[in-house]
Amino acid sequence: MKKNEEVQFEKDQFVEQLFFELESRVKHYEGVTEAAIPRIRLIDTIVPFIITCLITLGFILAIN
Amino acid sequence: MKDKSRLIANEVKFGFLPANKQEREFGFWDLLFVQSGFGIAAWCFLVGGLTGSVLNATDSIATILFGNAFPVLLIVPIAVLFARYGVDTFIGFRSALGYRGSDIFFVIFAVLNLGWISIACFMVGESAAKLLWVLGAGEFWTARETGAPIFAIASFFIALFVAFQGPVAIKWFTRIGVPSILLVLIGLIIVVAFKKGPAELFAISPVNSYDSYNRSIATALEWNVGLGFSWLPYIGQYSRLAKSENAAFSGSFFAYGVILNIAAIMGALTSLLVASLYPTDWMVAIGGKILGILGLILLILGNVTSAVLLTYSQGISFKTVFPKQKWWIALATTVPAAILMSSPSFYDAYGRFLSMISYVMAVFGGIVIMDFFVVKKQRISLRDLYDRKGIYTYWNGINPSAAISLILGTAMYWWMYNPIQDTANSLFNILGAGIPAYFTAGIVYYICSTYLFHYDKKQLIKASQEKSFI
Repeated sequence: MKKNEEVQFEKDQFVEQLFFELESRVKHYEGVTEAAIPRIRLIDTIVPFIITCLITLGFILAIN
Repeated sequence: MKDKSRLIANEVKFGFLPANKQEREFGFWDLLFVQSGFGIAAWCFLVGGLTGSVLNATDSIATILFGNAFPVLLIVPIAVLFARYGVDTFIGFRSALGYRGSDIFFVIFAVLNLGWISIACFMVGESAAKLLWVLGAGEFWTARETGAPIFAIASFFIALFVAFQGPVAIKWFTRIGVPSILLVLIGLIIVVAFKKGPAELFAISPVNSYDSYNRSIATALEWNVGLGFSWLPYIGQYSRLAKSENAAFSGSFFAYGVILNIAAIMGALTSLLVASLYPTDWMVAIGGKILGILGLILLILGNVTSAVLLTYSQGISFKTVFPKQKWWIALATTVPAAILMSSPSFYDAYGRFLSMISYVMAVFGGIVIMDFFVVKKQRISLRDLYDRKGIYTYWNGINPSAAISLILGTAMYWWMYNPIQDTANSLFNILGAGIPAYFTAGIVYYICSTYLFHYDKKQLIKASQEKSFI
């Protein structure tokens, strides 16, 4: 096999493998929740929200 | 050579495919450290330097904290999308922008990334020129117009070469570069803490403030908002590997919205102390000859590493969007950055560049957040993100709601502030421009996708699940 053909063959094989793997992973995500990770809850966002509020308050006080 | 190709192929596969449970290695602390290490670089010191050139110490600290934390809080919820579905930025955004729309966003990202690469490389060039000046070299090699561009372009090609070598070379570079920039930061903290007392430091007036106080605040805020929004295309690369959605959300918020501010604040305070906004001037001015040389060497190492990471990141993103393209073509997309380094003009226009970033990322941020959380109610079809003929085709691959939001968000930003001419209307001094553009784009997107271009999402998602890629 010539070098160019060899490279093309490896490239095609790579893309084919990629889409085969993609199909299996997408099915996994669609079918079961095993791949799923713990969901975020509203309460988890409280600390960043409060910190931003305090920073905003500090900014308003500083510029006035 | 084959090993290198295989490693790059593995990286592309890793970036292209949705991450599975075994690949999710990052908890909250990992995400905090990795993203802080990636984020603390030239851009933080420079935005701090700019802020300190127009505001005093108290206002600089308040503006940097608010200007970064607030926009980051507005965009960081999108980390949940990447964590939940395990996909990278340009695949995840297909849901909101459409397949072609996401490709267009990638092109915009790539163009803006050239700006970041050239900022990092020009700082290397300036550091090298300054180093030679300290050592007594001739004017040609030490001038900003001749020596600095030559060293900047040389450093870019070194970065390109390292990125071309693949992940192993990058790993070694990161191990040297990230600690280097952290040492610079520690040095600045020590100098700021001990060189002058707080009373004297907080009494220093800025050297380049605008005619009115409000305008100085608003412009400095816009620069920082630009840096805050700029993380939008980078959130996905680490959040998709998070062990939990909360780790992705909180880790990204604290890294980009809080920790990075330390570097920017140190930049602002040093800029006030030295009366120069350029980090290369700070090193010799505050450290003397020996420590100055050491500081410049660390700055060179840190910024070359930033250039390597940005170049590699763009290459991998290109391969993720276009997996059939060759690796050298992916990296060649960064070569135009060399043009921006050929003179100090672009580096000196960093404030305008940040404002442009603020405009672009604020508008896209408003669209993607509104799409995922309000319009799609956090439910998208993973299969269709990958199927270019799937439900995210919209109108010829572009989501019309996103296109209209982009136009109106753009109009809002440019009506408030023209970053090219640095002219603003009176509302800019109160609201800025990036944050109103974010909300305009988001609200317009909601109205368009709910009332103008409504479609039955549930039915389409169900139909798409019956299709296969192979």
